[in-house]
Amino acid sequence: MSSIDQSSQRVQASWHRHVRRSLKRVAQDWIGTEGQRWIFVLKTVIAAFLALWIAFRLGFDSPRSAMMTVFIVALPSSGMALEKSIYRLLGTLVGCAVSLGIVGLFPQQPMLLFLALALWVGVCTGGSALLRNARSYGFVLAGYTACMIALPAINAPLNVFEFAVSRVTEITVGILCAAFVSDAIFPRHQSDQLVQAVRGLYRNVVQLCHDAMQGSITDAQMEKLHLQFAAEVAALESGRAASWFEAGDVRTRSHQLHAFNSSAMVALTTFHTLHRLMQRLRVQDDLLVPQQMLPLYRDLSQVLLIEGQPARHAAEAGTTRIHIAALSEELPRKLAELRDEFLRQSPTPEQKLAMETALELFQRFHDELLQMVSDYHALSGRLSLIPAGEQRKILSYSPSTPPMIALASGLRSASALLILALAWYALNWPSAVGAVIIAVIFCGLASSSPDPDGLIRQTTFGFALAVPFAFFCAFFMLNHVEGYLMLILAMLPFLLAGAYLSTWKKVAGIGIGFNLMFAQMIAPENMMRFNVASFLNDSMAQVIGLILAALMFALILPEHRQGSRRHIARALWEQAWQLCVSNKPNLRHQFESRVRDLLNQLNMGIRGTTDAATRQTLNQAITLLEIGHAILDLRDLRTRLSPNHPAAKAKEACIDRLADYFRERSSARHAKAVAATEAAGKVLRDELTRTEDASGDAWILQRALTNLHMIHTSLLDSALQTSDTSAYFSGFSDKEANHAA
Amino acid sequence: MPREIAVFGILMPSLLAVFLVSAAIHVGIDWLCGHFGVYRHVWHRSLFRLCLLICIFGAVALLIY
Repeated sequence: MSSIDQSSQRVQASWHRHVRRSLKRVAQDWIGTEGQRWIFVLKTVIAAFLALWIAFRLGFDSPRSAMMTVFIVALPSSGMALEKSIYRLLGTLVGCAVSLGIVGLFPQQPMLLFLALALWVGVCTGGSALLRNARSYGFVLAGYTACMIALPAINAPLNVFEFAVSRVTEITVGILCAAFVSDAIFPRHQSDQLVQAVRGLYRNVVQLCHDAMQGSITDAQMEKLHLQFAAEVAALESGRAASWFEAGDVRTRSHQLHAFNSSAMVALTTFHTLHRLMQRLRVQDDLLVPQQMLPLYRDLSQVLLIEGQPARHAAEAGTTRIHIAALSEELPRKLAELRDEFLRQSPTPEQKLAMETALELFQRFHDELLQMVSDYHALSGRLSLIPAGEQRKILSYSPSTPPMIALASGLRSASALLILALAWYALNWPSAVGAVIIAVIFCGLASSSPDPDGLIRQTTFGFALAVPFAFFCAFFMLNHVEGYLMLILAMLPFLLAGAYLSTWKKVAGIGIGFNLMFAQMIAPENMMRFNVASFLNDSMAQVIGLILAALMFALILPEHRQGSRRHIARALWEQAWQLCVSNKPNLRHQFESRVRDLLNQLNMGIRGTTDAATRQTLNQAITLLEIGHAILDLRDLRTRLSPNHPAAKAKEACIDRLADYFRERSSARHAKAVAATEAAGKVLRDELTRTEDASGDAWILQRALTNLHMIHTSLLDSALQTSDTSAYFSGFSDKEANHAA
Repeated sequence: MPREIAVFGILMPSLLAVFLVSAAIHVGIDWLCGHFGVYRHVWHRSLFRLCLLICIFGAVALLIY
C-alpha cells in the first residue's frame, strides 16, 4: 500500500517539475520576444503621455506636436532614439531659422515665397538623399519645418515668430521626454547589438575565406555572400553612429571600429580576386596552378578556425592572430620553395604569369588577413587606443548615393511643393495647406528610404485606418471626459494598438502612421474644440496629401530612386574612371567603401529574387573592385619608376585607354583597352628580360606585370564585356541625335 | 540671478542658458568617463549619465543663484 503511495507521489512530483519547467520555458520565451515588444510599447506610450502632460501644464498652443514627436523618435534601441532626437532637434532649429528668414524677405509675396521655399526644400531633400543615414532625417526636417511654419504664416506674417518659437518648444519637450524614457527605463543598448554585429562580420568573413579555400562554395553562393557582406558593413557603420550617443566606451572605439571595417573590406576583396583567378583557371581546365596553391590554402584555412569554428569573440581571436603571425614568418621561405617546385614542372609562360599573380595575391591576402584579425583582437583590449608605432591613417566608411538620384529627389520635392502650393493658393480650401505639408514631408522622407513606395503605402494605410477610430474617440468618448487621467484612459487603447503594430517590422509604417494621425486628429488641447466639419476636412486633407506624395513619386522622375539598378551601374563606372584619373589621397579606401556602399544600395533595392540584370550589375561591381585595386597598384608603381622609363610610358598609355573605356563603354573602346594592356605587358616583359640584376626595378616590373595580368583577365570577364548599359546608352544617344536633327 | 535674460531683444529664461552651459560641461565629462572606462563599473549607464547631468545642472544653477 505504502509503496503504491510512494510511487504515485513520485509520479506527481516529477509531473509537477515537468510542468514548472515547461512553464518557465514558455515564460522565458515570451519575455524574449513578446515581452520586448510590450516594453517598447509601454515606453512609447509613457513618453507620449508625459510629453502631453508637460505640454498641457505649460499651456502650449498645440500640445499634440510634443506627443507626435515621441511617436516619431520612438525606436527600439536607445542609441537610435537619441540619434534621431538630436538630428530632429537640429533640423527643427535650422528649419525655423530659415522660415523666419524667408518670411522676412518676402512678406505677402506668395509667389516669391513659394519659390524660395521650394528651393530650400529641394536643397534639403537632395542632401538627405545623398547621405541616407540618421543625418538625412535632420535634412528632411530642416526642409519641411520651414514649410510648416512659413505656409500658414502667409496671411499673418507678423505671427511667424510665435509659430516658430512654439514649434521649437513643443518639439523640444517631446524630444526630452522620449530621450529620457528610452534611455533611462529598461534601455536596450545599441552598443550590445553592435558587439554582435562586429562578431557576426568577423565570423562571416573568416567562414567565407575558409569555405572558399576548401573549395566548398559555389559562385552563386559567393554572389549572395557579397551582397550580405555589403549590408553587414553598412549596418556596422550605422550601428556605430547610433551607439556614439549612448553612455559607454563605443565613442572612444570609433577609430578601432573603422579600422576593423576597412581592413575586413580590403582583405575580402583581395581574397575574392585570388579566388576568381583560380576559378577562371579551373574553368579553362588549367589545373597546374590551383593544385600548386593547395598546400598554402590548407595551412591558412587550418589556422583560421579554432575547434572547427571561427573565433567567437575578440579575445579568442588572439590565438588566431598568433597562428597567422607564425605562418607569415615562414611565408617567404614557403613561397620560394613553391616557386622552385613549380618551375621544375616546366610550365607555359601563361601558367608562369598566373602563378606569379596568384602568389603575389596570396601574400597580400595573408598580410591583410593578419591586419584584420589584429584589428578585431584589439577590440578586446581595455585600452581604446591604437597601438603605438602604427601610423595607419584610418578613414570612415563613406556613403555614396549616385548624385543624379539626389538631384532628382531634390527636384521632385521642390516641384511637388511648387505645384501643390499654387493649387492650394488657387483652390481656396482652408484645409489644403495640411495636404501640401504632408505631401512635402513624405516626398522628402521617401527619397532617402530604400523602399519609397512601401513607406508611402503603409503610412497612407495607417492614416486612413486612424480616421474612423479618431472620430469615434473624439466625438463619442472625449466629450464625456473630465481631467487628464480620463483623457489617458480614452486614448490609451488606440495608441497601444498602434504602438504594438509598429513593433512588427513588416507593418511598422502602418503602426506609426496610425499613431501620428490619431494624435493629429484628436488634437488634445486644454480647451478642447469639437468641430465635425473641420475634423472631416483635415482628415481628408492629410490622406489626400499622402496620395499626392505617392502621385508625385510616380510622375516626377520615377526611375530616379534609391537602389535604381541603372544608376548604380553608372555610378560604378564613374568610380572606376575616377580611379584612373583622380589624384586625391586615400583613393583606395574611398573606392573600396563607395563600391561597397553601392552594392549595399543594390541589395536594399532588391525585392524578392534577383533578376539577371541585377546580377549583371553585381558581377560588374565585383569585377571592378578587382580591377580597381590592380589599377591603383599600377599607378603607385608607375610613380616609382623614372618618367622616361619605357615601362612607365606603357603603363601610362594602358591606364589612359582604361579610363577612356570606363568613361564611355563601347566594344571598340573595350578592344582598345585590352590591346593596350597586352601591349604594356609585352613592353614590361621585354624590360624584365633586359634588367636581369636583382635591383628594385626588377621587382617593380614583376609586380606591375602581375597587376596587368589581373586587369587583362578581368577585362575579358563576361561581366564587363556584354554590357547592356552601353547598348542602352548608345541607343539613347542615337535617339537624341535623331531628335536634334 | 535675473529670471530672464535678453538675447537680441528676445527674452529667454536664464535657466535655459544655464542648462545649455551644463549640457556642454556634461558632454565633456561624459567623454572622459567613456575614455577612462568609468561606465564599465556602473550598473545602469544611462541612468548614471542622466544623474550626472542633473547634478551638474543643479550645481551650476545654485552656484549662480
